[in-house]
Amino acid sequence: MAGYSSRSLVLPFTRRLLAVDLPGLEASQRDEVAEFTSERVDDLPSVLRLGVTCIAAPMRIAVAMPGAGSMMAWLIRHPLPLVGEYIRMIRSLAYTYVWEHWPATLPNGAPTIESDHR
Amino acid sequence: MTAIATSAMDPNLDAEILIIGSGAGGATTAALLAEAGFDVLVVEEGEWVEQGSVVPFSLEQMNRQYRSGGVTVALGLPSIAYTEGRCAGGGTEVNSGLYRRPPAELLERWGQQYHIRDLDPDAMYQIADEIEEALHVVPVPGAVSPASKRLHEGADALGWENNESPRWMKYPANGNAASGQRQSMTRTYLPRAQRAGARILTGCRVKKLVLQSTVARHAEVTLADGAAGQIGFRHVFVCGGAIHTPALLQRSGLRERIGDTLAVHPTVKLAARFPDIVNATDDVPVHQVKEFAPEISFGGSASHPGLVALALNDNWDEFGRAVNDWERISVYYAAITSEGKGRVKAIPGLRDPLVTYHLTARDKHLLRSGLSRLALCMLAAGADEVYPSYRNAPLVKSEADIAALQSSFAASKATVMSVHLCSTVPLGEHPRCAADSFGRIRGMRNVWVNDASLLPEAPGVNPQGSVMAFAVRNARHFIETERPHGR
Repeated sequence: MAGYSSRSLVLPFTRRLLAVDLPGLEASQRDEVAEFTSERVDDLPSVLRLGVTCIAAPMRIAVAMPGAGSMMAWLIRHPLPLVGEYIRMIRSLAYTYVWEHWPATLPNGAPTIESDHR
Repeated sequence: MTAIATSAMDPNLDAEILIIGSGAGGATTAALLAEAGFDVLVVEEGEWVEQGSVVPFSLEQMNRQYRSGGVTVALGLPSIAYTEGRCAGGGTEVNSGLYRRPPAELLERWGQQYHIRDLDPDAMYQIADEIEEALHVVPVPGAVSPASKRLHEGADALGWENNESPRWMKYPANGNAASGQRQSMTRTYLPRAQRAGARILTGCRVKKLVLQSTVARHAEVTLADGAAGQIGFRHVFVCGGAIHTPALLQRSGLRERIGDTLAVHPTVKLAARFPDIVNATDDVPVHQVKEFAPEISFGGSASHPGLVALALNDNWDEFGRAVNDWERISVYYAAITSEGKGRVKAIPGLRDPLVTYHLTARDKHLLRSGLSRLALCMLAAGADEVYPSYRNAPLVKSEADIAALQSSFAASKATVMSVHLCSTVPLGEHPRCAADSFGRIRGMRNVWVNDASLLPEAPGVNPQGSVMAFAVRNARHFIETERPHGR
């Protein structure tokens, strides 16, 4: 387990989730947040990490399919068991990172008018 | 004062007393035993982080001082997110610093129900006096934070009992809540242990204890650089906290009654927005509402902008707009005493144990009731909007909205959390207890536990004071019955 990384599964999913959730976030910020979330997933306790990987793998495939954007939007609105928990975990990590690092960020991810933090 | 760097150490060591873990239980044990003349070695899996070198409650702190970056979960319906310190000083380095004595009637009941020998509440309170002096437990001498004041005012307006929880802090004269310096283990008991000759090794993970019949002979360890080693000892105290103490014992082959009775204080939370600035990014409110204690208590949480976003994100479409008002928002929690139980199970081949927790129907009812009452308290405190943290929660702007909160709340939709974990190796002479009345593992001659795992139940108050009082009591008993080598 120690040498295994979920990065290739979590990075694209997080980027896609943030594109739907926080469309105003710049691409470089999305990448930074996705890096953070994937590092945290790699640091999860063994059993939890195994479970997350089992959910993240099919989600990674789904993200690569045509129409992934609308499917992601549907999943966000209709949280399914387990999949919903995965989305919730990624979102919790990502939002915490965004507003800790860039507190002057609008709810859609764009910078506030008075801020120039990018 | 810091620990010995493990990169330069000989991976094969010996000590009269090996203490695994340096939190509230381990540090206290180390100081008392070293001062009594024992040759003490403390090993800690995490690093030694000087206070002030990381921002309290930040992601960087979680990265450096929490296990798994603060993302740890007890699986269940719902799952319960919990956090554990993993650094020199353990949880005392990262918690809120609030202090409560164990309730005397609780000690009385534990003594009877779990057949704990010589558990005298008066003697425990004398120990509490000592601890409070050593940690400098005091109320804030000046102004409390605005978020704390709001909680106090809301409870007062409703006629609910509330009070300020003292903290182990040193404040300048008339200093306000944010001016205190934490008196955590790296400032108090660990330096005391070092002054008395104890050695402290950080970055050292204990894989297992090697047993021979009823005696543990040595510990197999891995150092920060990956090197393997072993540490011999005469006695070992396992003080890795309520999750990793039972996990280590199980990996070592000790499984009977160990890890089957995890107890926590589950909490649900909300964010409340006030007309003026209340947010203190690096501090937590000191007031707690005890009107419904011990079943339900209210208090305040860390509330930097990232944590405000976290509290709002279960209903982001409706609540997200509030995030830019974070300076006027603070996060509060409702904690319950749970009748549920959890388990910790070490699984062969996996580094970390499986942790599960089952909330009872009564627990879920209390969580709903607690969150509703907390929302009411926030309105009474002057909040103009309250954002409960669960999926599709309603916005609460008046008392009329609380009915909608009560009807729509389900624990399965909420982000249930806990920072108080205990009871996985309960002490006492009762057959259900895994350790004897002073923390020695049943059937073993030299394996002791001295941390939150020993508390027979979650105490219904912040448990650090209880953990330390038992740790001092048990360490003193050990000193009376076991003489240092060569004396």
